[in-house]
Amino acid sequence: MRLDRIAIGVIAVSLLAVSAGSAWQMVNTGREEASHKVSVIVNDSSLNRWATFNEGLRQGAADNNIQLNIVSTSVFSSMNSEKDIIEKEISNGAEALIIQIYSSYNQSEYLEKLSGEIPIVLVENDSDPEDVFSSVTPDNKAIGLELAKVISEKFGEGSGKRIGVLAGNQEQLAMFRRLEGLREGLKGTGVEIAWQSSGYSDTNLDIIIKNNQKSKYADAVVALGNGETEKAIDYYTQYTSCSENAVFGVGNSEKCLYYLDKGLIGDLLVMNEYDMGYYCIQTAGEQIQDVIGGQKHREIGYHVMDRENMYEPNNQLLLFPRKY
Amino acid sequence: MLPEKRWTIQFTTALSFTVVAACLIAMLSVSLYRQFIGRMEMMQAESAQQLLGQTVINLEDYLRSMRRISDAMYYSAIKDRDIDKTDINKDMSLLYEANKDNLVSIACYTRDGELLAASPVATQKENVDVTSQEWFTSALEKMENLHFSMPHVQNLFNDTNYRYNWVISLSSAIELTRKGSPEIGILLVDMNYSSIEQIMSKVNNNSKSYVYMIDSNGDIIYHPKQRLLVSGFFKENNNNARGYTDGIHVENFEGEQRMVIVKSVSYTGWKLISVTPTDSLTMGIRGMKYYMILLMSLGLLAIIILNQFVSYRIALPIKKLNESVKKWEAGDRHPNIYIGGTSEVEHLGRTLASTLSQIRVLMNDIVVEQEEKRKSELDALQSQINPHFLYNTLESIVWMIEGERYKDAVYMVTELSSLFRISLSKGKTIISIADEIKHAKNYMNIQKIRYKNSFSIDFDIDDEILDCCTVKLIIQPLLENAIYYGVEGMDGDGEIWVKGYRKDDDIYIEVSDNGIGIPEENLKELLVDDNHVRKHGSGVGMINVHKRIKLRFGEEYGMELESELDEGTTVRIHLPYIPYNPENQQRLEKGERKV
Repeated sequence: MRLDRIAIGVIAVSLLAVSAGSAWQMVNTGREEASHKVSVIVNDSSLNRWATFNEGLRQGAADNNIQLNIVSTSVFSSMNSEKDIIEKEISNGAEALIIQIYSSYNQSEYLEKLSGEIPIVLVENDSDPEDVFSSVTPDNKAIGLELAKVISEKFGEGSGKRIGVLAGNQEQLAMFRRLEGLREGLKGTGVEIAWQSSGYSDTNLDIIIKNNQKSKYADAVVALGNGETEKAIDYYTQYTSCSENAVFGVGNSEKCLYYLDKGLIGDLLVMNEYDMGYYCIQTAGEQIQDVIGGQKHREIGYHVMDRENMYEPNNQLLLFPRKY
Repeated sequence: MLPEKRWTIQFTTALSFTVVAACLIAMLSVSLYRQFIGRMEMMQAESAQQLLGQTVINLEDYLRSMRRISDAMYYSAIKDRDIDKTDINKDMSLLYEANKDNLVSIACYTRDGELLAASPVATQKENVDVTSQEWFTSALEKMENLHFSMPHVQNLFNDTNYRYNWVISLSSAIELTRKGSPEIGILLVDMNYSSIEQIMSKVNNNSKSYVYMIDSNGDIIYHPKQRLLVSGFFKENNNNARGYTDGIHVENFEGEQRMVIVKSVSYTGWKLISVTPTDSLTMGIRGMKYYMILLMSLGLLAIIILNQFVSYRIALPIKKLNESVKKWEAGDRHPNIYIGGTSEVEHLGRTLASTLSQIRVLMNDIVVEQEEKRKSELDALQSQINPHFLYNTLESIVWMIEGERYKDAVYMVTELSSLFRISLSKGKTIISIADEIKHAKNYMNIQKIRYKNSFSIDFDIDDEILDCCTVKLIIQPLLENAIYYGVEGMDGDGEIWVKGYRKDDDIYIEVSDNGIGIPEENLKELLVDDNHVRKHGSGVGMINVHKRIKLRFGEEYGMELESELDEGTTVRIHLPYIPYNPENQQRLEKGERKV
């Protein structure tokens, strides 16, 4: 008798528990999961080079239920100016940050402290030492090597051609590695580096090129970043009549593509910036939710474009983001 | 082996009802849920079909308007005009301006790829070979048709603002007149791809289901996740989808079951494909699923409670009846049998009560029968004494008369008369100890005369036991034995003592003699009811007394024997202490041992 009652009691309690659980699930069904706020801080966010990257970010945010905030920035003058923006974003409630750091060196302590407060994902450019923090970057050294390869192929073995190098901000490990790769790749090709210009000086870089060309003429300019490539274009369009194979570089802005199409740019290395944006958001989402086994470092690919292949159907989608 | 544990009728009833009800509820719920899902799926499919149909209409309207532009351009500005003598740019610009929201450009080429006119006015790229472009070649391949190209970035004109345009090229081979001679030309209308994207994006606002568009080769014209497809983050089943006919299909792709609805866009060979993962259908009605579970569990709970109540009501009369039976089993001979509840249980109760009543009557009959049987046995035992005694006494009286001892004979007859009066006791078996002692004294007076006072007798009876119950004629046989087998053959004076006393709730009456005693081997056999054992007949009286006491008062009472050769014998009668009154006397007479 007692066992009968216990059995009925257990069944009744179980049914009540199932009812309560169902009611809870019913109430919560359809309630959207709270989205996470992720801020993206890159150098001069208004640049057209970020268009594809932003497209990847937006798609990633839509797929990962993330509230995306692409912070409007101008050209960074120093690491401190970037730090100010970072602090502001944290105080505004960002749950994770995607950062293109201005300087890769001597930032470990700061980044350590920052990553203790909030998940961070470094984009395009890792910090030194590498692979400590989550990052989404191309193989920058391979980009440099690829540039050296296409230049030597274009000029021919033992051509004795000279190039000027716009090495960009060498405080960034990405640019350092690209230059390292370029130098390494050019060894034994007969192509010499006539001059090299480093650092951020966007406003007068074309003048610097002009001066360098005057003193040590180079047959072509190799630019390791999108901004540098655009400045090289400016130099050639403003100060020379040269129209073909004068610039080799890294970039993906509409201006770069235009002059690739025109032939001024012999070869353009285009990073999969869409993938970079998508991976950044995915990594940030994983970090916020503390996903076990989430990837710490993700490497994106790149493509070598010239005026002949840039309109191939698959390349069109890589180079020309659709604007909705 | 432990008895098998059986369920109660209440539990069995409740369990049976609950199981049946639970099965019915589960079947009903599942059936309703499946029906609901089916209807929901059907409604969603119909809704998606309607949406897809509307999108196809919008697309067809848009494409038709583009064809009209192409036709208008041809029929109003090119046909029957000599291109070299007429400026068609003006008409082309007018047409472009009127439709520039949907157009990127209009251009007219010769068969050799020479640009004849274009709007808006722009310079053509130097390195472009239009004859190798897909829209150009397809227009020449089938000159009778209008051709819609795949979406592509327009690669024709310079734009110093670095702009580029995604377009779908509508191209057609046309007949041109140049310098009076007809020749084949190509009319190109580059439609702004964003117009198609806008139409398509309107139906792609749901995150789970989506619509994409393919051409007749299965190549994707529009996909909401086109860029993800290129990067390999997403995969689409477009190659299989090109073989689908218009209507609803179910496919398994990348481990996911999907409902696919296909609708063709007329003239172009394009297909609009709506994809809805089956999971998302059920996800939409997840709330309904939980609602069904909630209803089912609450329904079951209510049924369990109701069944408990109903089964309790059904089982209660049976339980009450069972309690009555348990009381009967526990020894209550007059249990109050429950008669009530449903007609069947009431009938059972009545039958049981009647049966018990009959059993009681039968048992009483058996008791009476047994009592009578015992009484007749007692009477038989007592009747065994009478011949002995009567024989002995009459023999003594004969001796006295023969010896002319008439006074002694008169005394003897008087004593015998008193003895018989007590013996008869109006047919009673139970008499007071006082009467029994008097009876013993009468007997001993007779015997003393007979044996010429060759032995002495001493009665020492406590007064408090005189008025207690005893079976009659239990001392006399012992005295008889004491005389015959104890003191009769002695050389000296024999002595017999009768002592009566109370100890707690028991009475003891001892008859002792200083006779020759009884050998130990005989002593054990004297109180055994075995006729073959006794040799001298001396044990008949003792056995009778012993059995009569036990029959009347119980097994714990009776006689004990102690004897030593040449020392004497003591016979101890053990009786319960029961005051002698009519009530006790009658009960004992009826055979009730405990008073």
